[in-house]
Amino acid sequence: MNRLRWGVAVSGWVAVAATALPEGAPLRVATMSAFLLIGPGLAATLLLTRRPSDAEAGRRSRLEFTVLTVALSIAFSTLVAEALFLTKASTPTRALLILAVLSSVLALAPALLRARRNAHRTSVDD
Amino acid sequence: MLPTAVTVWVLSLRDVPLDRMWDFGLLKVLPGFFWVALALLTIGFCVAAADRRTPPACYLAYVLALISILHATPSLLYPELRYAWGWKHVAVIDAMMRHNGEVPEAAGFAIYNQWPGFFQFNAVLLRATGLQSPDAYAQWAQPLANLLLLGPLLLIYRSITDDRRLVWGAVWIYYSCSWVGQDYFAPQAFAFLLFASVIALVLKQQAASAGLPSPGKRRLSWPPDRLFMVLVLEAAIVSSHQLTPMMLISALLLLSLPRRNRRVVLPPLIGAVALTAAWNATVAKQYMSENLSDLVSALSKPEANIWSGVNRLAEATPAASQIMVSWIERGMSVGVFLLAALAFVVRRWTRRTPLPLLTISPLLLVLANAYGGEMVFRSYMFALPAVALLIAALLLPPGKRLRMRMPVVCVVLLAMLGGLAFGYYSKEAMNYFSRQEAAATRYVTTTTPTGSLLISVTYAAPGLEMHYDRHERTQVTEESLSTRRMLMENPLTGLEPLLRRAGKQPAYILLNRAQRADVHLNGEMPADFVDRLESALSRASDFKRVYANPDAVVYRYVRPAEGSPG
Repeated sequence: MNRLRWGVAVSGWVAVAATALPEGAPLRVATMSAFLLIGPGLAATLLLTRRPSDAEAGRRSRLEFTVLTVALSIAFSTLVAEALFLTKASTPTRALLILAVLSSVLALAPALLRARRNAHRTSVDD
Repeated sequence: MLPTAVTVWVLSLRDVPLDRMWDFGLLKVLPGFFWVALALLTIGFCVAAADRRTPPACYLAYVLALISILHATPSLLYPELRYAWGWKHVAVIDAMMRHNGEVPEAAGFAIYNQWPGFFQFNAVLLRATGLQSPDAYAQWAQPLANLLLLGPLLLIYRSITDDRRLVWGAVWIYYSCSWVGQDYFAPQAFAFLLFASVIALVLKQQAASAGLPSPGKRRLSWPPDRLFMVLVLEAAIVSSHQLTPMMLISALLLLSLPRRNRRVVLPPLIGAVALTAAWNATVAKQYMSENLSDLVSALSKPEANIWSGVNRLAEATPAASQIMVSWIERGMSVGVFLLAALAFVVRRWTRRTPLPLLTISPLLLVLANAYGGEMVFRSYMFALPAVALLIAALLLPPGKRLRMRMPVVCVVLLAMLGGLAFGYYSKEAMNYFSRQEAAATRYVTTTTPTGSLLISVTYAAPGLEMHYDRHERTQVTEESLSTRRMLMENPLTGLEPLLRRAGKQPAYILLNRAQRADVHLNGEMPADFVDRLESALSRASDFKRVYANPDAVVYRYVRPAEGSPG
């Protein structure tokens, strides 16, 4: 799971880097489509399923995991795009940067929270 | 049987004479093997469903094959995007990208500035990938939309029953009865996917909440982060489409009526109402202020709202084929709801599920607004997920051996697919566009001067809305009855009031094969009107033919004062 979290956290930045590829290049199309349809939603869904009881639900929750991943990716991408549209600040790099930051934060939030909790516990023990 | 059905389907798609489509559209030109493939697939599904040990992967394969046959067939056969409305949405994305924000001078398209979600999602996708236009993937929007919908449908059904056969039977019935054609490249299909996802999450949470033991413990209706995600989905719905938030609020409102549901349903309901109110009071304020009185007055005319959809062909003289198709569509819709009602009576366990409430909730909106005559069809669309499971409960009752009953079930499923084929494929003569037709509209929208008036007989011109911020457009079928009568009597004299709207700007008239088919099928003008108009234009001295190919022709109006037209 940890490897997946790191993969998702990095995926947005890979998408940002892929803007350097030629317009319409198959690799660029595949990278962007995959990120916009999966990335932010997968990061959010990983956050939702961080509780052990949810993770153990196994096959039954796999379907919910998939549905949430796609629906949330579309929703996050849409909302970010709309915010930029309404503020007349729309550029592809800006949209991808926001989504990349969002994906990284959502994917790594549990690890960051755990690290903070451990640090707090250590300082109390000291 | 599945591999045979798929092989027969693929082979049946060779050399389909699309140019011969007229009455009944694809129904007439698809070869017999196409229908054999569909029948084999249905029989195979029934055989699989008769065996309780059939694994989910087998059902999945059958459903994917069904989606492919029904929805990928036009994508594989047609050289251009299906449906004139799909082209319109491509034009909106193009305009928003060119202006990098709201489109000025949008006239009737200003509504899209106020619900930009679908268009902005596509704009980001296009800019990020560097693709020039959504054409490449828009053509596959229907198979993709139906494929993506499979997840939320399964989640909805699995939150209500554990019976595998019932779940997959409902999925099959859903796809077999979904004839309204709102799955194309449009905000509706986009928002419907999110709507189904929200309903699925609410029902899943409801099931999880009901199943939790709570001795002396206060049950939490929603984990906060999960509720937040539902609100994110709702925000995307609210900002993408006008009708879907209303459907969502109606569904959640009815679901919240039983006391046992409220703990779970109220938070997303409050969220949907608050988000809709906030959006309508801010970004969509202009539309709401211009249309609020109409929306309120429609509430007092429930009968008119119903009939505007049911009776929409009353003011025209449609082709005999379309009258027949219309009755088949009505018969199928009524039949589907009757089967659902029968399930409610006979299968008592369904009364304790959210299915009856989800079936009724979209129908309430039929009374509230006509939605341009579309509400009846949209309500059918939104009710169908719940209706499909009710029908599945009737046909495939859980825990019973079905070998004896299966032939009857198979006949019912085949009849459903037959009804769907009439509703979904019979208007294809006007929904299909050849490369020549697309080239003609491209000529009109890209080479004519800014400010030109573009006249067509109907909307069935692929991409005539492209650059809608630069051109005026008018359709003969949208004119008043008196103007249309003038046009019927004398096409050239009848054109005069339309041409006057151009003022000093150039005016062009585009006629193409699909418009001819549209007029023939829907009968808003006499069936021979396009031919008469073209004949008159070709003889008139003040119209010059500036573009022509076998499927389309473009005339430029030459004002008497003009010396030599360009």
